[in-house]
Amino acid sequence: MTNRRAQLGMTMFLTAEAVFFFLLVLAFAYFREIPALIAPRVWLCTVLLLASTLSMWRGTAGSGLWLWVTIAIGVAFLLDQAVFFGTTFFILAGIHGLHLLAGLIALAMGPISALRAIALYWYFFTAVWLAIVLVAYFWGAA
Amino acid sequence: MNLWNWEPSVVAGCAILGVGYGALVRKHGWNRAPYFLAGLALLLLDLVSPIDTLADQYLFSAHIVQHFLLALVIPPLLLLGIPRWFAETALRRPKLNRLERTLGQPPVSWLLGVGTMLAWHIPTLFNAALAHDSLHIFQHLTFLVTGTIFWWPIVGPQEDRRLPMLASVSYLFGACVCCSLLGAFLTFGPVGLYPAYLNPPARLWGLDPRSDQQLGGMLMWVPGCFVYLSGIVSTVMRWYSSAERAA
Amino acid sequence: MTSWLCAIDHKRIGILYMLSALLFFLAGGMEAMVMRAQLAAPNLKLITPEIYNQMFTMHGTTMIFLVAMPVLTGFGVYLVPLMIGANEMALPRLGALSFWLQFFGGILLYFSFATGAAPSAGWFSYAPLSEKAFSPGVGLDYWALALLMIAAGSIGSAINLIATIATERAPGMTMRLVPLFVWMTLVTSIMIVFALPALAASLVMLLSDRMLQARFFDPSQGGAPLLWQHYFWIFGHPEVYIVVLPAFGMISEIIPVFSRKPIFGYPFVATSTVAIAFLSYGVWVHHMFAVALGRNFLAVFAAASMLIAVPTGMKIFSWIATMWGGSIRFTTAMLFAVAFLLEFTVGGLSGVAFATVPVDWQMTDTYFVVAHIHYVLLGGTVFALLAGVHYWFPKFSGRMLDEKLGRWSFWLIVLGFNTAFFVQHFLGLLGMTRRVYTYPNLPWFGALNLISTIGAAILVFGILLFCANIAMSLFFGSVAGDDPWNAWTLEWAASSPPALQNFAHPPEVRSRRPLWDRKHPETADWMRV
Repeated sequence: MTNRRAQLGMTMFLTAEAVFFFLLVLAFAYFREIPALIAPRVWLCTVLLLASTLSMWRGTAGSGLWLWVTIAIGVAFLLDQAVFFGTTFFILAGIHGLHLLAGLIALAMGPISALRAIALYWYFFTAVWLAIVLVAYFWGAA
Repeated sequence: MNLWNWEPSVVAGCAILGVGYGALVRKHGWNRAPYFLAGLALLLLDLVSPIDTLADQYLFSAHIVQHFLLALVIPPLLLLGIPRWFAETALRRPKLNRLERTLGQPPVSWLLGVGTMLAWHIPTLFNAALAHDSLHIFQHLTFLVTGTIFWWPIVGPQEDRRLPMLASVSYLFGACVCCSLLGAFLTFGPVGLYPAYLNPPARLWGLDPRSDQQLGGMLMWVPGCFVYLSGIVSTVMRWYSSAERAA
Repeated sequence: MTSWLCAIDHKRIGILYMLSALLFFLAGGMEAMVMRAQLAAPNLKLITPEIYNQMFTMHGTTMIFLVAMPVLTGFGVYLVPLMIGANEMALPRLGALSFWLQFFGGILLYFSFATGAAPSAGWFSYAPLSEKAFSPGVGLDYWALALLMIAAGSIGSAINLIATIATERAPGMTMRLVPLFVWMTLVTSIMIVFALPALAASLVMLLSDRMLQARFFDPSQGGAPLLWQHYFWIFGHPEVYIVVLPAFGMISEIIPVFSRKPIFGYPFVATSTVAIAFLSYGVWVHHMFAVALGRNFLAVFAAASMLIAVPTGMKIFSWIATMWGGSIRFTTAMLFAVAFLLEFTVGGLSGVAFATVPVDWQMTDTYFVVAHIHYVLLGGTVFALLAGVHYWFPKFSGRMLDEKLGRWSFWLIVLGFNTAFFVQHFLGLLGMTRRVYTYPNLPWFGALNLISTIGAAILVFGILLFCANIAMSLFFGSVAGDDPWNAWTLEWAASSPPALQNFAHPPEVRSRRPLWDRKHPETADWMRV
C-alpha cells in the first residue's frame, strides 16, 4: 500500500517537473541559449549519466554497492557541469544539476523503502538531460 | 470554373460502400446507419467538393481541413456505424483476429495515428504528395486507414473491448498534445515550408501565405483539440452511465 | 502550541491552512481598503502612486496565492479523507511540508514591506516592467522567490490529494460514487500539477533575468516580453479554474442538502468539470487580445473562450434543477450558496463578453475587468467559501454558528459587495482604466468611485461580523451533533470535531449518499437504479 502511494506521488511530481522542464527548455532553445553541445566533454557527461542509470538499476536489484557507484558517478557528472559556468545555459544545467543533487542526497540518506521512487526520479532526470542534449544537437546555437 | 472534382473512383468507392452497408444492415436494423452514412457523405464531400480543389492548389488551410476530416472525423463516424454483430462475425476469422490483436493494441494504434499525422507534415513528404498524384492518393488512404486504427480502441464496435476510461482519456490527451504541438509549430513557425502555396493561381479571401499557414496551424490546433476533447467528454459520460446501468 | 506546529494530522493541517488564509485575507483586505480610500474622490493624494502600485500588487498576489488557493486546499485536506471514509491523507508529511512552504512563502512576500519596497508591478508582473532596469528594488525578487515557494507547496498538496483520493477510499466507494467536492478537488489537483510548473518556469526565467544577467524578457537585449505573457497565462488561465472548481464542489454538496434532493445530473456536473479542466489550457490567449497577435489567432482563441462557458453553464443549470421542486431550507449556508449562483452568473457573463475580441479591445485593463474578476472570485469563490464555512463549521469545531448573526453578515456582505463592484462595470464602460492611483474629475467618475468605496466599507463590516460570529461561536455556540444538517456524505458520520482516528471501522458505502442509505434503509439509493 505504502509503495503504491509513494509511486503515485512520485509519478505526479515527475509530471509536474516534466511540464516545468519542457517549458524551460523550449524558452532556452527559442532564444538560442542552448549551445550546440558538440564538445567531447559533454558526451562524456552524457555517458556518465547513462552509466549511473545502469548502476542505479543494479542497485535497486538489491546491491547497496551499486548505489554508491551511482552516487560517485552522479558527483562526477555534477562536477563536469562546471564547464558551462558563465554562460546562460549554466542556469538550465544548474537547475537540472540541483535536482540531481537532491536525488543524490536522497539516495545517500533516504530509507530503503523509498528506493524505487528515488530510482524513478533518477531515470527521469537522466531523460531530461538526454532531451536537452537532443535539442542541443538539432537546434543548438553554434 | 467548376470547382467540384467528381473523381470517378472516389464516387464509385463511396457508392459501393454505401450500397454494401445498406445490404448488410437491411435485415438487422438501421439504428447505427446515421453514423456510417454521415461518415460516408463527409468522405465523399471531402474528396470531391471544392475543398479538394482548394486544398490541392490554393490554400494550405483548406488542405488541413481535408486531412482533418479524413483522420479525425470520418473514421470515428464510420466506426460508430459498424454494427457489433458484424464485427464479431468478421473477427472470428483467424487472420482478421490476429490483425485486430496487433493493430488494436493501444500503443500501436496510437503511434500509427499520431505518427502518420506528424510524418506527413514533414515538408519533404508533404510537398512530394502535392507533386505526385499517386502519392497523394496514398497519403489520403493512410490518413483514413490509420485514423480508423487510431479510433478503434476508443469507439470500436465491440464496446467491451474498448479501452477503460482513464486509459482512453490519457490516450486522447496524448494525441491532443501532439496535434497541438504540430499546430502551434505551423502557426508560429517559418512561412514557406510548403512552397506550393506561396503562389496560388488566385489569392482567395485575402489570405496571404503567412495568414494561410497560420490558419492551417490553428485549425489543426484548436478544432483538432476539440475533437479529442469531445472524445474525452463522451468517454467520461459513457463511464458514468455504464455504472448506472450496471447498478 | 507545539502540537499545532508539528502537526501532520490532516484535520490540523486543514485548520492551519484556513487560519493562514484568514490572516492573509485580512491583510489583503486592508490593502484593498487603502486603495478604495485613495479612490474615493478625484485627485486625492492620501498615498503616493508608488505605494498604490504596491497595494494593488500585494492585494492581487495575496488574495490569489495566499488566500484563495490555500483555503480551498485547507478545505480539501480537511474534508477529503473524511468524505472518502479514510483516516488520514496518503502522504501526511508531504502535507505538512506543503502547508509550511506556502505559509513561509507568504511571510517572505510580506517581508518585502520591511525592506522598504514591496513588489509593485501588478500581480502578474508583466515584462519589461518586471526587469531590473525598470524595477530596480528588491520587491520583485521577493515576489518571485515567495511565489516559487508557494507554488512548490501548492504542487505538494495537489500530489497529496491525488494520492489520497486514488488510494484511500473506503471499500465500496468507487470513483463514480465519490462526493462531487472530492471529484472537483481531484480534477483541480491534476490541473495544479499541469499548470503551476508553468508559473515556476516563468519565475525562474524572471529571476535569471533579474539576478543572473539572462535576457529572456528584456527587449533591449533580444528578449521577448511576450514570452512572459504567454507562459504566465498558460499558468494563469487554468489557475482561475483551480480557484473556482473546489468552490463548485462545495456548492454541489450544500445545495442538495438544503433542498432535500440529490444533485441533479451528477454525471453532467462531473463530466463538465473534466471538460473545463482540458479546455482551460486552450484559452490563455484571451488575456492577451490587446497585444497585436494577428486576427486569425485571436479568432480561434475567442471561439474556444466562448466554448468554455458551456460546461460551466451546465453546472449552473444542474444546481438550479436540484433546487427545483426541493424543500428549501434557507440556512445562512444556503443563502450564500444561492447568492453564489447569482453573483457567479453575473461574473461569468461579463467574462463571456470579454471573449468577443472587439469588446475586449475596449474593455481590457479597465474597471470592467476589475468588476468581472471580483464577481467571479469574490461573488464566486468567496461566497462559496462563506457557504462552506457556515456548513462545515459545526463539523470542524463541534459548535453551531449563530444563525441571526449569520443572516446579518450575509445581507451586509451581499449589499456591500454588489454596491462596491456592480458600479465598476459602468466605470469601466466609461473608460476608467485599472491600476490608476487617482483619476480626474470626469462626469460620474467621482460619484461611482465614492459609491464603490462606501460599498467596500459595508463589505468589510459584513466580513468583520462574520469573523465575530466565528470567534463567538467557538466559545459560546450551541453544541452541534455529528450531523446537524441531516446530510448524506461520510464526514457527517464522524464526530464533531472528528477524533484523531476519523472512523473506527471503514464505513459501508454502496451509493453516493451513504448516510442517507444508513438512515433510510428501506429507500436506500443503491436499491433504486
